[in-house]
Amino acid sequence: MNEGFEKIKKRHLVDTVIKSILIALSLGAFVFGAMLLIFKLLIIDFSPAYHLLISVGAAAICGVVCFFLLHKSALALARSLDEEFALGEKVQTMVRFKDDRSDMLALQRENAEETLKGIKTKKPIAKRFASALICLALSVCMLLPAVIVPRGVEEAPPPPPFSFTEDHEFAMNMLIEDIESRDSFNTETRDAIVAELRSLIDRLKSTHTLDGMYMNVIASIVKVDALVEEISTYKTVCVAIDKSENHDMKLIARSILNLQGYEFGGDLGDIRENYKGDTLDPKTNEVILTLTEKLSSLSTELVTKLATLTDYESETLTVGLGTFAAELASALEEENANKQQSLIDKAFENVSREVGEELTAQWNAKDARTDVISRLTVVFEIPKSMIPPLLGDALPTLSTSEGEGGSGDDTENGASGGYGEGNELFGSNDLIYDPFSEDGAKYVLYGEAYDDYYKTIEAILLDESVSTEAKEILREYFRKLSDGTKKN
Amino acid sequence: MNENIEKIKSFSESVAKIKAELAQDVVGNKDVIDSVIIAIVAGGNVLLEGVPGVGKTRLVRSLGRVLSLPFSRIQFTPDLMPSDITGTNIIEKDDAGKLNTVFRKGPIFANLVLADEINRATPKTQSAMLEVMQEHKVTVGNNVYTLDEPFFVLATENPIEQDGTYPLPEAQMDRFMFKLIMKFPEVDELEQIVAMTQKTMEETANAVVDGKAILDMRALAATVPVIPEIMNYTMRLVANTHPERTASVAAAHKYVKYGASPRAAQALITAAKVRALLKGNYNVSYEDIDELAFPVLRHRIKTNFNAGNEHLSTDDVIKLLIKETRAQR
Repeated sequence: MNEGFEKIKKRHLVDTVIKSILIALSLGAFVFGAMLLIFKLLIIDFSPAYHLLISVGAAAICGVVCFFLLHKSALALARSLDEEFALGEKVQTMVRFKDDRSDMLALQRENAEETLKGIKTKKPIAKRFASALICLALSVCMLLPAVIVPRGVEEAPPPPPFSFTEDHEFAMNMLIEDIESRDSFNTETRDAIVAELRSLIDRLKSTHTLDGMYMNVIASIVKVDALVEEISTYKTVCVAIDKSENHDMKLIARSILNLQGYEFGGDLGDIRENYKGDTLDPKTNEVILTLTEKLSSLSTELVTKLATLTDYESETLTVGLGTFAAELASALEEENANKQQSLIDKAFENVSREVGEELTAQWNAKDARTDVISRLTVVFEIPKSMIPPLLGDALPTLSTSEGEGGSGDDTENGASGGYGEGNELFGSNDLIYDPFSEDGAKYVLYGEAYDDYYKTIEAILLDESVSTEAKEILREYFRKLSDGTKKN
Repeated sequence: MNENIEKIKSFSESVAKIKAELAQDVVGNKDVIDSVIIAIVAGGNVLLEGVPGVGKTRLVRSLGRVLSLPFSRIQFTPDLMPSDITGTNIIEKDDAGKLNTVFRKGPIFANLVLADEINRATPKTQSAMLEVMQEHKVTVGNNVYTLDEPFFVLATENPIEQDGTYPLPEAQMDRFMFKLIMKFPEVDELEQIVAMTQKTMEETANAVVDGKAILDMRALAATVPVIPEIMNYTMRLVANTHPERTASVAAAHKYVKYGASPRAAQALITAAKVRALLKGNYNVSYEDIDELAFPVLRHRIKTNFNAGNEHLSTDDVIKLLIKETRAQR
């Protein structure tokens, strides 16, 4: 019984499910499109996962709600059939009294079924799913423009402004005066530093952004650092004499560094102690002989090592040490022990004075550099993290072995990266502060920090507010760092 | 069970036969004929309103022939007494010469009664019909006489001649299941009537069913299902005729003076069941209720001055009540 109606019911259920799914999909797509469009137009960043989650959630809720709204009970379905096809409430009566077994109801059901057979209840697909198809079309109308419309371009916030104040100018002039008043270091270098600072004042007067100011000031810091490094020879000389296996040579190298303020231990005093007059007692000819040989060897090696520094042969530090070697050699030729001792003492005294004076000059230059950098940093409030690794901060790589010494490759500080080439490496394994590290600001090896700094500076170099001159200084600086060329 | 089903199926066939036979004697007014048949099967009485000569009496006489039922006619006049209708006790001498009181049945003791021009009798006489029409019983003195079933009263009234008439009281009006309006026949129908009566004035219809068949049909009709929605609609329709109800529709408040009694609801449902079967259906539909609302309600509700002022007939008001009640669904 009621086969026809059961069939209609089943078809209605299937249609409702399909309609609900289509409408749910439509709503999901609509929500997705609407959100996409809104976020694109308002330039809002939104996780695609959340985007998808919300759309799927909306579709699921809509699907369930649609199903319950569209699904008709048997009685409601009967009512709609009666109304639509004017069946005189036959179907409703059939459904209402489906459990009644009386003859009249049996006939009524039969009559209702006959009537249902006589009508065409199945509509064309387009009509059955019209509402769902309209929803689908609407969602496509929303989705298409949402996909096609390009994302709005976010207006970059205006760069923070900078203006060169009178206070800045006053501080800069004070710094220039201070540098000019220092006469204990290379005049050309001092003039170059002063010129750079004056140039900086000019550049800053035409700079109106904070970033531009930072770049100009940092360019000047880098320039001053490079100027001072230009006249600094102690690193090269130290490395040259450190390559000797002679323990005394290493002591000389460290002594030079100590004079520059770096704690490497050791002093020329150690060498001198070894050659005190007491140890040159005639009675201990063997000792004298041994020491004489050592001194002879030291002077020979010193001369040999320094001879490799062709670029520095006329440089005071090299000349001073060469003289020391020559005086030692000369002292060793003296047969008179006392006289010999006196000559050795004089050689030490001379080397201490001449080399010391030179190193003091270099130290003063370094001091001026440090002063310029620190005062510029304070006056213009340059964040420390923005200042790139400076040449003056890098250490020469020295052997720390007290005994046999060794080649540069065997040194504790390692032999790769950093400033210089081949074995002439400076501080490649020293830890320095790197604010641009991918893992955040931290202390890293000098070599690793270089790349980060270079990338950052390269990006900043695209800033139009940075003067061409400042850009050139920075490029040159990093070129030097990368190819290890110490001199232009 | 099969026999019962056959009976149900033959219901409309029987009705068709009745209608076919009646058509031999009564021309036109098919709706009236249908309604009269519905009323007979449903066990109701009919008040027929129509101008003289439209075939009211002929319809009842012919109906008596078709249904093989005894027929009597009562011509209501102002001097008609209740006993002239119900009958009376008379003193009669028996064979032994003893005087006995004997009840002589009046014309009401028939299955089909034509109460012609019922509104011409006095209210006293009219009220004699109340018990008969409602309970199918006659009380004379201390005796109660039950009438044979089926019992059917078809009363007529003339809408034109109002002088010397006594309008039927509401209580009696309520006893009539339907009030039917017999229209004046169309020209072609008139031609047929004249042609037919040239041959003979006698009814020619043949008997096709009997009283028992009518009672069986009534019992069958009672089993026709009515869904709760239609039942509720019917009750609302009747209730909406009452202007004193605040929940009634606007038309009732505006055009109705007083509404229909609960008998109207009973009549609607009972008649709708018969109509459904008559139409070959096995359930009551809204259409059945709506169609029957006119004959059932038109004599039970009284329209007010507004309706008259707007030239709205009772049927127009009923139409509005139906429309507004439907809108309440």
